[in-house]
Amino acid sequence: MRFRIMHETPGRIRLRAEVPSMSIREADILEAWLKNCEGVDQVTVHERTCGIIILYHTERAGLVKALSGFSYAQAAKEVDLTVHSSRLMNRQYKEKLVFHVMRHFLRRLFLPAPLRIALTVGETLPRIFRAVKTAATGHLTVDVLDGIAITAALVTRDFSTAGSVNFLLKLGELLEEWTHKKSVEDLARSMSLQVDKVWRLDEEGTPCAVPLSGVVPGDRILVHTGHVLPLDGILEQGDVMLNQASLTGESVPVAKRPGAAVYAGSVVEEGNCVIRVTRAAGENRYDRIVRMIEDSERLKSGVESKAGRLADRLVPWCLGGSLLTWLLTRNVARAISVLMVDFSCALKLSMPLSVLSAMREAGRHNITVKGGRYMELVSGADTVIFDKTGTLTKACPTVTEVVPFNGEKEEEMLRTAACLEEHFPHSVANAVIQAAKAKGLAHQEMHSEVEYVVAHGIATKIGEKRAVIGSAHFVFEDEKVEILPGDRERFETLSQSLSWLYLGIGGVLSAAIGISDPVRPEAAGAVEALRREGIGKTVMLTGDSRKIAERTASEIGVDEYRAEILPEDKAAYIRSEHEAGRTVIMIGDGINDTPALSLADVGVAVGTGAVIAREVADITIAAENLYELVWLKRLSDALMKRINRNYRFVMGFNGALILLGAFGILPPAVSALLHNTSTILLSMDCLTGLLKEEK
Amino acid sequence: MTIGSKLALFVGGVLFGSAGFKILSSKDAKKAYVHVTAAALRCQDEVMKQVELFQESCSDILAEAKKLNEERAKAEAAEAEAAVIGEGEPA
Repeated sequence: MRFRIMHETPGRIRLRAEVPSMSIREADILEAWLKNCEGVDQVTVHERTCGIIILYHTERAGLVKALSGFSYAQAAKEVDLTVHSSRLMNRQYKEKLVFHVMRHFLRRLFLPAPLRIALTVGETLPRIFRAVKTAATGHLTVDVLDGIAITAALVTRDFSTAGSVNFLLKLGELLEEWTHKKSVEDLARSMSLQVDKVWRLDEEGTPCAVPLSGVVPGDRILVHTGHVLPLDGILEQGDVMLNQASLTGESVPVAKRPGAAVYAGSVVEEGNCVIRVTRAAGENRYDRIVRMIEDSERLKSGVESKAGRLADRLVPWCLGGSLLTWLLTRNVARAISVLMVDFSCALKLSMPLSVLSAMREAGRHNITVKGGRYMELVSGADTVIFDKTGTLTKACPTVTEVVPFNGEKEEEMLRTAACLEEHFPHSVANAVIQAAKAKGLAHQEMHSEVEYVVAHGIATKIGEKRAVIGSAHFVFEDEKVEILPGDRERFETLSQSLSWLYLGIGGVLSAAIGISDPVRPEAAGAVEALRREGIGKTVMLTGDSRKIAERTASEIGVDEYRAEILPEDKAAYIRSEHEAGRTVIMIGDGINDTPALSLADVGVAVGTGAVIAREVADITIAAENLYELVWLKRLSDALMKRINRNYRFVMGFNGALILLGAFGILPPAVSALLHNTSTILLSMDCLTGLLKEEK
Repeated sequence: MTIGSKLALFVGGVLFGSAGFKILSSKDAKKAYVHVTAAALRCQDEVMKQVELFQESCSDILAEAKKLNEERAKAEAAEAEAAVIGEGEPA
């Protein structure tokens, strides 16, 4: 495909595609393909003008070369097209906005007066009817105030004021509707599944990994503990506890028995199961998430609801003030000037816009915030609790040593361990699998009945013998695995600076796998930065041994730490913080963090962790960097500051307008214009970014 | 209004009611409507296209302005560096 370069500056290039036209789908393909290109930061594709704007930080030559080789057909294969695109929605709203503005001004300039008046009355009538209906139910809301203001203008034959008030009100509503829809779509998109492979059972019942797109209705798939259901289906085998947080919003798991219908997006908390698929991959989950977000009013924050209620409570005061002005001055124009300043609508409009815009800004930074009130809570938080493995430490621990016992061979043990850990969604399991891969140790599925005991380990059967792998507590105390006398000495001398996974076969210790889990380099700095941003207490909770926890805690500089902690203890710790009246942020990534994540005021999941953690959490950070948390705190603080500033501005400015109107200095038309224009400008300001771009 | 003009209005209304509607909804008239509407839609698209072109030009201007400011800042920093004597060590 040919492109023409229209404009260039270092790091930014604007092109036009030399094609007669571009459809929405083509534009989406192009945008997605470009986003995947190396070094590209931001892509905007305008399908109407066939214009493309690319912000990049890589070699220009490379980008140009990639572009010259672009073709729709090829790109369509490479790009993930199941993701919902907002292009159509954005296009419609942009049109609505542009034509709304144009119609208003063209009408003023060109239409003859009688026609204009008729149109104005026709357009304002619905709004007035709505106001009357609401007033009839006894609720004096912002809509009623708007309706009265417009009626007053019409009655005094001030049609241009009525028209401009209506125009600005409609403009504000369009902006809010668009922003709301954009936010819901962004959120639903980031909450949508990105599963690539599933375990499908073939005729004999052996599981084999297939890509998601290859599964058709009627197939049976195997889903293990801690994994998410990728497709809708009927539960065939297994009694499971399903967490349906991402579908219904409630985090309490639901028990399902064979024969029950289960849905894509629920996470298996306990038990393995076989599902017979009823619907292939598609938009099902996306639409469901959109509906869930809309229904659960998640997007609303506490501040917004408060602002809305305050706005409604102020309405009688506004009306009263207007009436008072009339009584005192016997001047209708002055009373109407006061009436025109319905600042409750300014409150109701600017608050949601600020919150939604902040959520979208976080989304652009690859942080998914699932509701406005979580940003509020982050801003007001006093305690941050970190999980250690995967959160404070790098998500890729590595196997440094394999010590075989009981006369077994090192490589055989590593192979066995990898085979068991394959079903275990944890970063430690990944380390074992990677180590086996690195040594070229392939394996068949030689075991059966994988039984996963949360936070402790895996138990399964290899042939006749029971094999277990996990922490010392699990292997020695729960499973009562023995250490042969000849191995005891070697066991005692295992290095203290590594975490150890123990593999027991047939009740005898067969291997110890040493995992080194280096702390993230930015952890200490991030913790310090959080403290500077106002977090009073930082805590580390881990299931690791005391020695390692102590070393890690001092390395990172957290205020408190707890070692050898079980999932229930994590939740108990949060409860004690709540009793002390503190707001808690919990950051974790593993399956054993989910009770704590649900209990905390804000649960944050780091993006590389278990899917269930991401589903249950309120905020998901995709990046690998703990400084993202600091950025999030700064964003939340900036949002709260903006909200407070909005309050002060709305009250102050509009209060002044009311006084000026009451004293007759401002005629109704001017006060209406000033009020409504300031509201629109305020709303547009709320949509701008909160934090300055830091390169 | 004289009685003549009232009569004229009445007759006009009758004519319009009987023949006028027929003309307005005839096939030829419908074709005309289609053409007009199509032209209006084309006009709409053209307007939106111009709006987007305008947006693109504005973002060009913004990008160039930013680049200009960056270069000025760099030039000023270089000047300031050149005017300094000695090593910059914190005290």
